[in-house]
Amino acid sequence: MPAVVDVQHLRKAYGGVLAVDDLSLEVEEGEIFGLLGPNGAGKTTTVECMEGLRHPDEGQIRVLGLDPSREPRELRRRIGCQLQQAALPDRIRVWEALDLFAALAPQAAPWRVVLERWGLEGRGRAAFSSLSGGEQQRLFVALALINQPQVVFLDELTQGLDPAARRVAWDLVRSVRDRGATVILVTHFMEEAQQLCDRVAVVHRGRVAAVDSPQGLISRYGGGVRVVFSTPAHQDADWLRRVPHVSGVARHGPRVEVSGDGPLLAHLGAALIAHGMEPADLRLEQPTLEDVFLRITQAPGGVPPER
Amino acid sequence: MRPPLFAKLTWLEAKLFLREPLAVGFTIAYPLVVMFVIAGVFNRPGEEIRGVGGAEYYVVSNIAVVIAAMGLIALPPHAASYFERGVMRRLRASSVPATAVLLAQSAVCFGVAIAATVVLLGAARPAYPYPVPQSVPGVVLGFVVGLISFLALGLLIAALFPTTRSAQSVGLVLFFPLYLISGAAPPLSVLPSAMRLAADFDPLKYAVRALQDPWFGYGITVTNLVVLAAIGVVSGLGAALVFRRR
Ligand SMILES: Nc1ncnc2c1ncn2[C@@H]1O[C@H](COP(=O)(O)OP(=O)(O)OP(=O)(O)O)[C@@H](O)[C@H]1O
Ligand SMILES: [Mg+2]
Repeated sequence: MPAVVDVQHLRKAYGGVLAVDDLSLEVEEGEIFGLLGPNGAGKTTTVECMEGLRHPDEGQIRVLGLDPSREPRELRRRIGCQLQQAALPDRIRVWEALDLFAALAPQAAPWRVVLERWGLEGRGRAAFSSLSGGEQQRLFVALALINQPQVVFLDELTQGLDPAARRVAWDLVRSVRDRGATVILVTHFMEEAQQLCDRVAVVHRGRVAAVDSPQGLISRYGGGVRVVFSTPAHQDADWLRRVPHVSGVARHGPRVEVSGDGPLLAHLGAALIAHGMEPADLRLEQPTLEDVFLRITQAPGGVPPER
Repeated sequence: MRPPLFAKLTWLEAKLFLREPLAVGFTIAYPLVVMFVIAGVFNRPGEEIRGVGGAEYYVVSNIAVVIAAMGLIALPPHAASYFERGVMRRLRASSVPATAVLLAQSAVCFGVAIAATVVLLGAARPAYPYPVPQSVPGVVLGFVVGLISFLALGLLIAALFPTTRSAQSVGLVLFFPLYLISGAAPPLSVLPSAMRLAADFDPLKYAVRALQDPWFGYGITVTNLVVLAAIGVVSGLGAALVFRRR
């Protein structure tokens, strides 16, 4: 089956600034696909090229088999967009906005239903400018989903949402996917990527530096697991290097950090007991997506070697 | 865009226009107040401007003030704010082209200008019983051509100055001088000759004349209409060119 979103060698510059530089990625049907990356990495530019809001300088894009630059109308009937930067007229009322966007999509749910689904009931007559940041964001997400799109682009979906609304948004994204849609999600929240995404691309300086499932990224780039405990400072810890699966030992005063991989904790625990040591604070520190993100985006020469 | 959708968009834009105090004030209230004051000042027996009484001269010329306020003050900041704040992008992402939005806004301005004119003429009637136009088709033609060309000028301002603030300042800065030397403020005959020369380059003067000439029985002056049409076409094309590039 061809990819629902297929980007090959995308390049886009603004004046002299190269925002996207030879970026390629493929998103399969029914995936929730995350785009992570530092500010200015080119995520929004990439997504806007997919939405047909910007025209690539080079490269090829297909979304649902359509070229966004050449067939924007047909495409936009079938996709939903929540833009990182967008606004509605200050004095438009919430219901008027929903009503207009619903009129643009024959298959749209009635605006009263949408209002309720997004916890905006009672705000229908409120002017857009009087909404709180989170309420505006909910409205934009509602607008992105109003035409029951086959592909949804969410650029920083949960910025400004409170934790409860964030959970609501996540549930909605999952239900959109369960309905069969494909979701492209730009985010800076590692937890969101980890909870929601089937695969994540880390975008760095306009390229895809790595792409895999969150777990896959962690095991490839996370830098292994660490076990941490304390011992009295005089006690020797160098013998730990000979324990299976240990790759390094570091000491900071009473704190010992043992790095390694796989079943490190079990081996280390057994070895410590065999040595008559029973540290009460022995614990495993697993690398997170954040570690992956930092390792990739702060690596001096670009992408760090896989572990 | 399908006609029912365009109608919906235009209706929404009309509601939004009426919620905009500055736009409503300048296009409906301002010409009305100015008309009452200035027509009152010149409403003296024996006072004649361009061969008609002062009161009727100013009732008719303030219709052109409605037109100018619409094109220079109401439309530019409104249209520019849509570009500046990302409203256009949001709409474009849902297949509403910017052209449709600008057309809807212009259509609303057109409708409100007609309403403002009706209000102006209705309110003036008891105080200054002006005569009916000598040539109704001529007046309608002058009104339509003048209004369209000022709306096109407004779109050009929004295209060249795509932030609310700058479009608003440019519109206001243009409006007042153009108004003062157009003949809708002091009569041209009392202006110093340098200003009268400048008035020949004032589109508003032609809009004033395009209404007055057929109204007072001086015929349909082709020059007025041609100048206005030329300004409209050039501004419209200019605006389209700038918008296309963006
Ligand atoms: N309209 C524009 N004009 C000029 N430069 C731009 C424009 N939009 C983006 N850029 C530049 O292109 C680069 C990529 O921007 P982009 O918005 O795609 O980044 P991003 O990954 O979405 O960042 P963020 O996480 O901050 O949203 C940045 O260096 C930015 O300054
Ligand atoms: Mg962005």
